[in-house]
Amino acid sequence: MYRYDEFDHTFVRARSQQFKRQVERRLDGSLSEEQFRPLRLMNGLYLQLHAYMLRVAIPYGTFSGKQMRQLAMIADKYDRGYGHFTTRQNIQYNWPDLVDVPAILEDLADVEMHAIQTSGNCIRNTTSDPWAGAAIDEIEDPRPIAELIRQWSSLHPEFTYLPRKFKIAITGASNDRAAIRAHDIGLQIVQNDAGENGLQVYVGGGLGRTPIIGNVLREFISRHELLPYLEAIMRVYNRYGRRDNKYKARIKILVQETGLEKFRDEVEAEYAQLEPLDIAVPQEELNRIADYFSAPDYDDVSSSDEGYDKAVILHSDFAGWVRSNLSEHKISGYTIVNISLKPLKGAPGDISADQMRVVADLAQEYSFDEIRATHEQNLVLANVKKSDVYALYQKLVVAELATGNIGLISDIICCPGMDYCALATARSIPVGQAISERFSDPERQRVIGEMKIKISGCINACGHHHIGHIGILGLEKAGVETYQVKLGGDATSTAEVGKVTGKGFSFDELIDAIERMIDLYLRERDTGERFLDTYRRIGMEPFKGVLYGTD
Amino acid sequence: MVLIRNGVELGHVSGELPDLETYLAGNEGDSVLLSPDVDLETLKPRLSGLALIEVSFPSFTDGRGFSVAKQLRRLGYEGELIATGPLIPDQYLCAVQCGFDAVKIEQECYVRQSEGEWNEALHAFDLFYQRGYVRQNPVSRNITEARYE
Repeated sequence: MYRYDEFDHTFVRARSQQFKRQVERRLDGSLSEEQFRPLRLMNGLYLQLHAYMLRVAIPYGTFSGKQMRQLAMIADKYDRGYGHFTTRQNIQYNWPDLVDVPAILEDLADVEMHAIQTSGNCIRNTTSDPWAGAAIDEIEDPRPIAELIRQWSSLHPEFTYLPRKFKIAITGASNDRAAIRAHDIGLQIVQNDAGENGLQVYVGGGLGRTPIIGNVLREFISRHELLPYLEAIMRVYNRYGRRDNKYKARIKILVQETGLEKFRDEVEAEYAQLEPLDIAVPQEELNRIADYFSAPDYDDVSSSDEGYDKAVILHSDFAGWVRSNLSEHKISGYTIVNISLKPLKGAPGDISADQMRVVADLAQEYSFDEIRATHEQNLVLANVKKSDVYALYQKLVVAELATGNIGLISDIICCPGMDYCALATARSIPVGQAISERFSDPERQRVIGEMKIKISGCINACGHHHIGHIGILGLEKAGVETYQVKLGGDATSTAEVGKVTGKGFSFDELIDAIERMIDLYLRERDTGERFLDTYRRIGMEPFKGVLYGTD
Repeated sequence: MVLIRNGVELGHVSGELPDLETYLAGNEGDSVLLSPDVDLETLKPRLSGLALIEVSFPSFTDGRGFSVAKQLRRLGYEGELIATGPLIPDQYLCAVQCGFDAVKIEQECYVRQSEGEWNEALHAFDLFYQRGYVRQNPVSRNITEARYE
């Protein structure tokens, strides 16, 4: 993974020093709260329902055991002994004191981490495929380009006071695990006719109040031209994006109101004015970054392993976990281990400091000291030898990290909701917990198969409910929580925004309603069909029937 | 209004520049005040006759002016370029890097954040990741270029 050189170190220290002074100037009154607000947000510091919340960047979700141990130390020293992994592959702390934040930033800088641009109207953490470098369907590891974008977007002099936040995601695989079409800019590594790898550029996707799936802005741009091309997009957006209404300020609205063709013409016109050589980084810099992501030193191991096979046969709990939590690795004899942060009764994405240290140890021992955070709020050890998996699993069991539900109905994306968030209109974590409880039988979960439930506690859609196979939106009506249900959302290469079924449900009705839909799916499904496939085949009506008793 | 250049307060300035419409209507004059939604195409033919341009910032969170400055410099404008509005010291570097020579702020903003803070802000960073955003005084370095020096 990427390592800071002296320049990266100096830069991050300067940024942490700058923020320290900003806090001091806020406390002595030279910055008003109105002036301080965007400055603290650009450093990941929110004022939440009960306290400040600090969001720490994990660029494209890749980090080391050492970094995880430092995150655990911070959780113990400055917070309440836990952290929360987010849908931008970041981690957030819910209870820091404002006066401690500069010290936390120093502790982060010690391990090459920061909180730069994890919030605010600027370019946010670039997200990527959590299986990068290990996936069998990968054209190229997307992380070198993600790191290039991280550097380019950090404290950009021109694009730090944008109309609204700006999110970029990149994938290098044919199956999109980074939800790129739900981003302001989505990048897909593709190969052109000449056999060169470059980027296909999507623009104007996003969730929030107005969910839109991004469209192709450019079929192919070479990696050398990527930064100049991004600069052209950003300049058009910075100049013409709406600033009169924060709910219409994302680039998706600009693209929609301008029209994709005209927007493309504007970007191309701006791009034509640029001198790409003044902006693009030289080949040697691309090579320098790429070298950090070269394949780890894999052992030459056979694809079948007696110990592993035997453990699967002898231990049914292990076999169940293997079935849901392992993914195929490009190197035979290796596997991708997905660690679920969605235990029964837990809050999705939460992890204790002790558990962080266990994951750090496991990464060091079994996976080249590298960890991934996923946008689905789980963790990944991407390069584990099959022969080590049973030993690793047993340690996960002891740490209560062996929930075998990846991709299943209880692997729910969920925003913090009313339990933490100042914007929330309803609870979301308790909804997730109630669904997990209702479907707690592992065998029943397995029978239901792949299922993406996503829950947001308000229309800002942090829980990605628009793109869940079942999406749930918590609203407040006359002082009562009511939950709207969406069906058919999809975050992958066949991306789609889900459709609302009809009137909402109370908290108590909701869980029964979901169960009735699942039962309908199990009755109606053809062989091999996922819930999403069945929905697409039979349509909304039968589901409305079981939801509202109209059939 | 207070003018700050190179981190130093240059005293109070009063008087407003003509807006774009007024400037284009007349044949005289070498200064203009641009709003951040300006269509630079209309100004292009007259750019070489200008010695002073101010770009207004309606609020400090409205970053359009940074792109306007960048585009003016790209069009070849070499005269004085001033950012006018309720900017705060924390944005000073952004302004300078995008091509502004100075900022002009309201007296009431200046009372809260004095010369020292503007000067400090100018020296907060001397390394930047982005290429094409130079700063002469004090001299900053692009990280990519510094890596291969």
